[in-house]
Amino acid sequence: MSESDSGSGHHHPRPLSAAAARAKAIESLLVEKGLLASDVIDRVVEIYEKDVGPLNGARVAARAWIDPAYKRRLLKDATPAIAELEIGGIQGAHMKVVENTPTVHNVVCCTLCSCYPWPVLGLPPAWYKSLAYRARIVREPRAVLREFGLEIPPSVEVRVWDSSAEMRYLVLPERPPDTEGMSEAELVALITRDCLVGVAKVKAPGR
Amino acid sequence: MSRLAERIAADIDGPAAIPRRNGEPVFNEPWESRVFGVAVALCEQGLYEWDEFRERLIAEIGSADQRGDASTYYERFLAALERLMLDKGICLREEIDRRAATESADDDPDH
Repeated sequence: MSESDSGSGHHHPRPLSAAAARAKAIESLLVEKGLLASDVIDRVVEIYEKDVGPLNGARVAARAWIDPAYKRRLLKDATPAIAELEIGGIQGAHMKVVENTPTVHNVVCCTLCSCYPWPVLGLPPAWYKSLAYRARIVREPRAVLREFGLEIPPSVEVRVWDSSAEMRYLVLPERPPDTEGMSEAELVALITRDCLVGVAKVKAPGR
Repeated sequence: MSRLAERIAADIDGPAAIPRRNGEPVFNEPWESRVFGVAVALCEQGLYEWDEFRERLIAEIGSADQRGDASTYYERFLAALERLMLDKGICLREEIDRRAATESADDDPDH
């Protein structure tokens, strides 16, 4: 909603919340002390908000689908295999890729805070950081997945991977049927963030 | 930002550019993205190790969860960053308090 269409006669922005004021205070103090330049902050935000996102993870998964040798390397030691695609990260954590199969479904969480594979998935969504998800996905994964619209049959084992500073997980989703003729780029476009966290399955187009 | 991250960013603007956030905004308010950017940038400039930040974030989240505190994720993130800056002697609490009061006053439309 823009100010001009509110019609209330109040053209002033909402007063800053306490947190917003403190955030602004910290930023301006750091700039003043010469410890940070504003444009450095802009660039970090820009990169993590817009550019480094689930697309990198989707590229990794699509490559694994079309290249069996790459998939073997990826499942054996994900960190260098991901680096092969020129994807790296600031946090230096090791990556492990866990593969969904007809008998195993993997889902990722961080029970302590919000560890998340930024370089491949960008920043975590709000639900990933919520107490409800962090606490419940370990206790009752099937119920939580059902709330995401994903029903896992009792015959399929559900594995929950708790991320840490040392290890971040990425789910390699199952390739949907009827996608044999698709190019790597077309496959990449099918793979969403939620599939790579393990709270959704990849859907073939038109389904 | 490291050259590597810039390369990643440059690398993914091709034809395969899909919606990168799958619809959900990563930040709810502008200050959240600023405080995130500050925490990452300070780490990249070598003022602390990311794990030092993470330890404090875990502590903030843990104690807020225990209290049943309604604070948001980024409010806790901010608290962890403040704690770390104080511990490292980067800023003083009073400095931040004073500046935050000024920022609020500047923003007050009646002043």
